[in-house]
Amino acid sequence: MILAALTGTWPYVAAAWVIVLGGIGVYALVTVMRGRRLSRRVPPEKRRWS
Amino acid sequence: MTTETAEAIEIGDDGPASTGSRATRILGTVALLGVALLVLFGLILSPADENQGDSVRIMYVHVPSATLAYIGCFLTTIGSAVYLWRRSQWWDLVAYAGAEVAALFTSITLVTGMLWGRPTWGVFWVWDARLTSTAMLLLLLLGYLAVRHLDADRSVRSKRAAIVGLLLVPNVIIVRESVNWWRTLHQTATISLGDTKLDGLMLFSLFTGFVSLLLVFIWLMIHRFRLAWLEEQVEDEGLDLAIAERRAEGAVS
Repeated sequence: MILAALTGTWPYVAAAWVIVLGGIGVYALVTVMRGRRLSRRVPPEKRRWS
Repeated sequence: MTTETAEAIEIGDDGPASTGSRATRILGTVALLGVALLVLFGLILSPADENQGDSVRIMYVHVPSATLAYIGCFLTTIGSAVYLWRRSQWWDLVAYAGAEVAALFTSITLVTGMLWGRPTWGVFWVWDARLTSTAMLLLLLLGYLAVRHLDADRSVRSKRAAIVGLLLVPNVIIVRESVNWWRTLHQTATISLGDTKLDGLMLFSLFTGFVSLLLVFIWLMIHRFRLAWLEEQVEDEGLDLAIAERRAEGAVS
């Protein structure tokens, strides 16, 4: 069963899901980190959301 | 800047300085729960397709990603049009955030499509109308983002980017209709009004994919918009500093 899973379509399925969740996760992390870095240089009154 | 001021800016009134807010934290939590539900239904509970087998599970992330890429392009075109009409900074930044998030989802669409194509068609890539037009859409988005990084005055940069942004929705229409206008290897729409080819858990999994990734998309859009806002504030600050230094130099000489 495990061999069938490894040789069938599951590797493609797993790769697709990892790329979707990983890609979005990395992008979200980079955006949040850049936001934190830049936020420190902008006074709170110019950050209307905080 | 004194130490007290620096600390006040860093900490703020509502915790550490960031692009987050109470609303985005709630939205992010709900989106994460949605993604967990998507994994549960998409990978475990939904059955394999009788023709495509387990590769149908790629559909639950591929189709919503493509739709969200179109929505990002739509926002960019709307933002670009309003910017050209009213010179609104808010809409300019909506266009910018939309383009970057759309580029992310278009890339995901292309890669997951290739991974779906290999077990289904036997090849990762064919120069079929849908695939080629989607690749063209990604190139256009990358072109838009490249224009945004031009070393030029902000208004010039925004105007040029907005002109590129106007081309996105016509391109999306070509991508969307390519399977109807030309003979393609790519299947026609998976879901259309009144003619859905899925049922039961498969349809529910796809619906979960749409909802959860839409929440993620909105969360990303908000954070990217705020980041773009901060970038402009920091750019203005740098410009003010440079002007002040020039004036000081002029006063000395």
